Amino acid sequence: MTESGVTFDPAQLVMDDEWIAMIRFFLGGIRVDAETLAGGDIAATGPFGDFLSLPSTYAHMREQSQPRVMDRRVREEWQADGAANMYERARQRACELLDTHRPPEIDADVRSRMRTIVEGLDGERGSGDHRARPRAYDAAGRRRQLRQ
Amino acid sequence: MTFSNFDEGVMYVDPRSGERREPRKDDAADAALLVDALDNIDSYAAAIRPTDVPAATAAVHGCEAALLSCGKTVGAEATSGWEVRACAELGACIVGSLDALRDDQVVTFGTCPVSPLKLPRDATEVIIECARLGLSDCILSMAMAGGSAPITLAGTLVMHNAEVLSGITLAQLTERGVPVTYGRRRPPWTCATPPPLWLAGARPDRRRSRPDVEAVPPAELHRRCVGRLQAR
Repeated sequence: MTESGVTFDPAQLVMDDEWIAMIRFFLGGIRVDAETLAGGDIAATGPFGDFLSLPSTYAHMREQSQPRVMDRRVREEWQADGAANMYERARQRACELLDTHRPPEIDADVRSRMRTIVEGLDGERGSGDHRARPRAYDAAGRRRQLRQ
Repeated sequence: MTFSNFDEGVMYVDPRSGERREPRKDDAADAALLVDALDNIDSYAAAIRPTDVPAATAAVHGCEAALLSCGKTVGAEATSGWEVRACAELGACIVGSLDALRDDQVVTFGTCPVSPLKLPRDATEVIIECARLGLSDCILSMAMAGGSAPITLAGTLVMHNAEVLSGITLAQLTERGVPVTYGRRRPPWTCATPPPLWLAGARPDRRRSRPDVEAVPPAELHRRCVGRLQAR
């Protein structure tokens, strides 16, 4: 949600999702035990070595943060790939999810009962006038002065 | 702690075109579908109010679209008793009956007192109707620091708690023991981007088990809070 809650922006929600993942990651704490302290690996690797091919690296590599819309690449690589900013990547991710994610399966008779309820209320309470209430914003999103 | 999107936008940014425009019912379905797809958004709050349906029934249309698109808890933007009943009936279609809805509340409701210290008619109607139906209502003060509440965090919380307690009291007077959700949000008067809503309790995704998320009756919440304070 943006603009003091005036506008819902799916791209913003995708970014929120990523930040919430980070918040949860930190709130979850850090596991500290003999395995994660990795004293054996540190001693065995020693100065000027690397940890890339160690079994422990493969075992724990997916525990690292894996952002989707933040881009950690170097500038040259980012520019060569189109230089999309974070908002644009989040917008693309939103479109991708909307195109591919499957909603929950709901039986046709349940859908039909729900439709009957809504149509009944439209007939009972809906005037058909979609503009029945004074609107605070015009179609272009400009704030209106409403009479009290 | 659970996270939800915020409600209720009067404008919508179409992610496909980038256009900022008035929202439609399809947008409510898309917003709910997106919440369903995102792992860290635990429940859906009515992201927008559709403008391509009758205004009087827009909240019910939005609830229908969301329930068909999202397997997580769906927050309905009811502002009257009959809207609560209508959205509850939609939820009952999903879980089988109103009785089943009390145990598996796929539709939740929210009420905002008007700061400072007012429970207007729409809020009282929603609180009373939820209590009569035995459904949890999230009472969420929107006290804005420095505007409709004291500027200090402590002062805002005093007023926030007073407003939420007034709603809890009304719910309990209507139906003793009915579950109520404590809603918390503390924006400054000049808030720019409201944070995702934090709820004290919510119902888990109906397809995924989340034992850390639950709707807790107020008496139980009180017992737990006292227990935590005494443990410190």
